[in-house]
Amino acid sequence: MSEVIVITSGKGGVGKTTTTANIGAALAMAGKKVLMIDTDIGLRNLDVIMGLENRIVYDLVDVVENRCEYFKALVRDKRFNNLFLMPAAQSRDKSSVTTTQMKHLIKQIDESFDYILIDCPAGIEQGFENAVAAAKKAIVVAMPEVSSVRDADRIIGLLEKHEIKDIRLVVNKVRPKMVESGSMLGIEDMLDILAIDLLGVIPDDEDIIIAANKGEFVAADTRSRAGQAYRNIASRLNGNKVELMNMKQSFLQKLFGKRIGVRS
Amino acid sequence: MKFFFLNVRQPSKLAAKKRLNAVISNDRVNVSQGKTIEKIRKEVAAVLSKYSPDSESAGSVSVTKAPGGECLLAAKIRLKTTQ
Repeated sequence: MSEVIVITSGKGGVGKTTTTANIGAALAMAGKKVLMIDTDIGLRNLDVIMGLENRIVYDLVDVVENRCEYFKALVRDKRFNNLFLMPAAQSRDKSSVTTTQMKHLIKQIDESFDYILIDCPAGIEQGFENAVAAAKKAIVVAMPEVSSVRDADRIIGLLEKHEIKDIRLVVNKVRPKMVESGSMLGIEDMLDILAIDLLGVIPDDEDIIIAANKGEFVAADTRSRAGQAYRNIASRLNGNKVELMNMKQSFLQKLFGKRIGVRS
Repeated sequence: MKFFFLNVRQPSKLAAKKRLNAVISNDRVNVSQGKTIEKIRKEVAAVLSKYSPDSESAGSVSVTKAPGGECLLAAKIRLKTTQ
């Protein structure tokens, strides 16, 4: 049986798709067979973040409408043989798929993968309902700022209503200096408010943007702090105890740039 | 004479936390309120119907909003007086 995990947030732009892609890549690097499903029909982006946009033939809507078998819609990542993408349709909308169809699809592919990561669209309408329909666990991605935390709280309530009990938090785009100066909510503040377990913390890192520009995975960059954070998250998902990273850069890293010096 | 003072700012995250707590509490109440009240109304009506099988009184449970974020449940029941 696969671990079926939905990655959601409520608010758009907090890093769900980037988180899905990089957790998927990190799990594949750890030897797991991973399928990522993009359920953001009409506004797909998982393909672009992964650099697979030119390899799409069939998509999720083709599968649920029986125009092809599910395995024909899978795009295998050439960098990692055990990493697959089922893209969303770009020219349809979220009403093209029903929750029943999603459940049926996941049931079909359940035995074939170690992990099925479902990239959920922003919002709480049909797209969200489709994404959570067959999920057993959830990762809520939130930024340490008021609107993101508010929406994350709403999403957690909805996930609980869907009887998803294993809900964990990934805090994204953390700026350690701002947290230190009291200008940004800290991890403890967010855990106080949202009251769910913490899965990981991703620092605000320009490497993420650079990797996305190139269609690469920051999780595969061994010199990147955000990449290390994603690899740590994957390790925790695999049941390992991994300490949270020290977000602060060392003096040497500050002096010579983050590429040099001891990585904590 | 001019004095130069250090510009000490209150950490803005304190304001953020305070506002978030207020907003989220309000959101949670509003999201659950309709259903919770209706659920309570039905449960009270179900209890009353055991003691007063009269269908008119069983259905007459009303809910009104009271000050301080509370709700007032009112039920019409027929009492038998014994002498």
